[in-house]
Amino acid sequence: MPRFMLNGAAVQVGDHHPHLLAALRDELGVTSPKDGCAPAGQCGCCVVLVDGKPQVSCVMTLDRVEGHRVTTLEGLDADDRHRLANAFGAAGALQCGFCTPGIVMRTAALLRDKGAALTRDAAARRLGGHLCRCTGYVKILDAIERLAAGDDAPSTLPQGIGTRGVKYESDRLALGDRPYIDDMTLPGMLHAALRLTDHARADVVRIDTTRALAEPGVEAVFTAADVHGELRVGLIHTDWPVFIPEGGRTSYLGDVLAIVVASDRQTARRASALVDVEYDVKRPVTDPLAAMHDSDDAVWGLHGNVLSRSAYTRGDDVDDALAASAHVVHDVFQTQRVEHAFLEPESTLAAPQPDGTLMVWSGGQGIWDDRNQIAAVLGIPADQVVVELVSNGGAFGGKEDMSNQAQTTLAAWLLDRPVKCTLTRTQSLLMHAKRHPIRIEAWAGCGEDGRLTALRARMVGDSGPYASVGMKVLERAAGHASGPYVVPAIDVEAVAVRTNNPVCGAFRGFGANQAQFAMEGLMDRLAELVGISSWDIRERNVVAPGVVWGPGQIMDDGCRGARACLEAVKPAYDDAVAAGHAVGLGLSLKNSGLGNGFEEIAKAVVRFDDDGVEVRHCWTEMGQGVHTVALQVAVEELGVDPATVRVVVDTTRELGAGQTTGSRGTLMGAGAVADACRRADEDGRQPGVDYVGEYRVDWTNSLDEGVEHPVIHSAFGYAAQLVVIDRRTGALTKVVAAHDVGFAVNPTLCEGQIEGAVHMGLGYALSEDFPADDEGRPTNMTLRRLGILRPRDVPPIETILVESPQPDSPYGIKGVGEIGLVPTAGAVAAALHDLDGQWRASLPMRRSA
Amino acid sequence: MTSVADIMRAQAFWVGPQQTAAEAARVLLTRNVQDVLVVDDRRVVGLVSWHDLLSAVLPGVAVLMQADAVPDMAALLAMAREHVHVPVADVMHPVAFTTTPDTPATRALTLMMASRFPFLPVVDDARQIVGIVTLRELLNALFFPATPRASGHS
Repeated sequence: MPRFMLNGAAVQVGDHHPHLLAALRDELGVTSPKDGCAPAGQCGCCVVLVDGKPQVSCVMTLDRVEGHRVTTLEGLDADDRHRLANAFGAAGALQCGFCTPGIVMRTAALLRDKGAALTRDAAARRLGGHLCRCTGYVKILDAIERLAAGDDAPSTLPQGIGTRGVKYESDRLALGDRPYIDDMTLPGMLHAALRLTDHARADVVRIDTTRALAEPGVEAVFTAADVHGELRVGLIHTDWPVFIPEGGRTSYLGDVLAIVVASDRQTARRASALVDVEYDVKRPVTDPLAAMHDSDDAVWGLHGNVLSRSAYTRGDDVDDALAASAHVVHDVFQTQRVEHAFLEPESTLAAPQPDGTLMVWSGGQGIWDDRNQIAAVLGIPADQVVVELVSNGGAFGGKEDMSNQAQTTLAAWLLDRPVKCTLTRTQSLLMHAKRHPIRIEAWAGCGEDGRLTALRARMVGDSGPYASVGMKVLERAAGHASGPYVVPAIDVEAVAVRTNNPVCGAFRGFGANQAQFAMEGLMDRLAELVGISSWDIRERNVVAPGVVWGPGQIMDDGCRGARACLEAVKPAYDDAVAAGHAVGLGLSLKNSGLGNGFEEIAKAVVRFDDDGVEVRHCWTEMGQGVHTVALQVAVEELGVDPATVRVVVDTTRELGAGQTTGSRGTLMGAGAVADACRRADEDGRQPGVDYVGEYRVDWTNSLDEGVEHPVIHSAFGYAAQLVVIDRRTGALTKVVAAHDVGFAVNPTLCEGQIEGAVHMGLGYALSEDFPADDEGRPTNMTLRRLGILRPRDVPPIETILVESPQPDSPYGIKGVGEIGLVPTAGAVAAALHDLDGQWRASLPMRRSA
Repeated sequence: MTSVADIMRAQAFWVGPQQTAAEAARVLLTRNVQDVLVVDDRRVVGLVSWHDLLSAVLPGVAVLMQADAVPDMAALLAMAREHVHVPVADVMHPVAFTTTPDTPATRALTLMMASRFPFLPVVDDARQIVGIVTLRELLNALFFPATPRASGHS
């Protein structure tokens, strides 16, 4: 029995744990070190001190700590804990918070060793073993600099809208004390593990659970045969099987065959490999272009491989307009599949209650959708399932579809016991939907004056097997094909194709990134032909109030932000050009809200009780700060002390508005909370009363309505980004990001969204990739292989917040969730072209032949 | 059954955490390898690769080199010279897997597949490094036992 000193006390643990992290979390209940990828040692979330040295605890076997001193954040003295949490909070250095405890632990050791001599560069290098997907590291390094300088100015709670101040639950997140689902336990809780398929496309002849069931500690194994309700779920089409049954066929490597439930996590995972499966392996359909015309159906039970086709034309005939143009460019752009790499693997906890309901803790992006889909699978009424949101450790769109919620709740329901299931990193990479690779062939023309004349774009997106929201991603790509520009003649088609590659769906930017990488590339090619600067061609074509945009929408006053962003980067652009640097510029827009004729309703509840004010809203907190927005709006409208505001999201109230998606959380959440506050005021703020407010967007149009000037989206965010490369060294020296967010509810959090998105956008441009081989098998199956930029590779990011208010929007808010990485890849491509004269049309960036 | 003891090489080389990036680069060059272990007081503390070193001495450049941007070599060298004294401890990453001499060769192969590194450190009961085992020699031992043991590089 291994013994070691934990935070000053002698402890003894079982010798069955595969590593120190498992002993800490599963036996000792020390949950500040988080498990992002164990046992790979690649994310840094589980760093602890061993004899004072920072160590990745998921790669330390217990014999290596026998007799040694282990220190976790729980064991630091109270002053140090406060100082670290304060600095991280004040700097805005944490968003979802999942990577934060590991980084804070390393920071503590760095400060102890180097003190005031700790430089930003050295800290950036020392954080090389830590992945953060939210912050872009900018504010993390700010916090460390602040600590090294001995600056311990106290952080402050945010007040009303427009104020800076720490994120909701900041201190507890920084110290790893705010539980994520995998940190939670219940009396009598069992652990579950999924058994995934071994082949992307294979008939499942037989599933034999005998060996798994014989494993000591295994309580049960469930398969499709145990599902009494719906077998298939889905946000739009119900085409995604929660299990593949015997007699069924797998359609990608994330398909689930069984869930194994055992007394502990390790047993469940070990036994899941003992579920024996007999397959008849089929040829996977992996080429989306060929799949469009392939008579072989890629997906089990579904006919045809074309998931969707979104198309529109507007204005003059595009062929005529191109023929009459002074300049015409044409290229084929190819973007890559990308993994979200949120640091917290998907986890679900479910517990049947004495009153016959099933309580579920989910980190999904839409817990009312989770509830409805879970109830459908279990075959019980939706009101028998209560889902509570546990703010998750990052999502970026990857937690919209259900992952293991259905299987976990099924196990809990059938066993009448609490069951928790957390995916391994490998399973997480295999299961959830990715960013679509899209092939875009495009033609654009302009006059001698650089004004656009016509655009044609043909897009084919590889959507993987199940619909998820793939058709909407391609619809959004089509809608954003022209970027924030005026194009008199336009002809766009975007097709989503089903294949047996990894499933693709929502990912921050949602098709706008791919489309505008192509459009920005065309703009720069045209500027070169006309002989004007990349700034000038954008200035000549940028949308203005009253113009007709994209599919025919007449732009409102909100679009002044596009020009404002362009103007905001002008001084930096001119300076960089004058200094002789290689410079690239990107200008983009991204819708806020679903639009396209959907009736979107967000609701919120404000309730007064003895402890203060409870604010309930309908969106998932996933690091972006929507809880903080809800709090600040309540403080603004009610004038209450921010310390008395609690934010709750669960399905005990019918507030559901679908997924926390489309950059709409801040805009619609603020509107709903503000309305609830007004209703409370009208009624004199009675204690114990639910004051329900709502915010509704029901004035958009679908393209299918045939309206001449459809309002496709109610609001857009805009951004101009400047990428600067040192011409001599080829070093990326700076990114300037000017963003029109309408109104920044919390400028610190808003900057954090932009910095994190720029980091993600640079990775998208230069290094990130999630390819699959001819068998539909992803080849970059560890976090380190995804190409995520390390802190030392991230250039300084200069953020400029532009506030050009959106008419008819609460406080003028537009939204900032996704726009931050939409212009980045195009700007990088342009800067590289400026450096060496080569156009690059594929991502991650390779030189065009 | 073949174990790591049968195929490991005792004459392993490594760098120390306080050595500089330049010194580590020299080891990679002279030994013609892609990665080198970082060992402190005979304990394996990490691994440092070409990519780690390049991003350390050329901050902001390495990612763009992947995009095939060709910079001015002289400026690049000047930039690298400014940073070559960065300690290896600042740029290394953790080693997820180790073996002992008793580890079965098949287990070592599994660990290599999991780690995706073509070699693994071999440590004794006191966790002190006693050698390394390379993928090349492991494959030879497991699948081509008649082939004379290669004496090449890891």
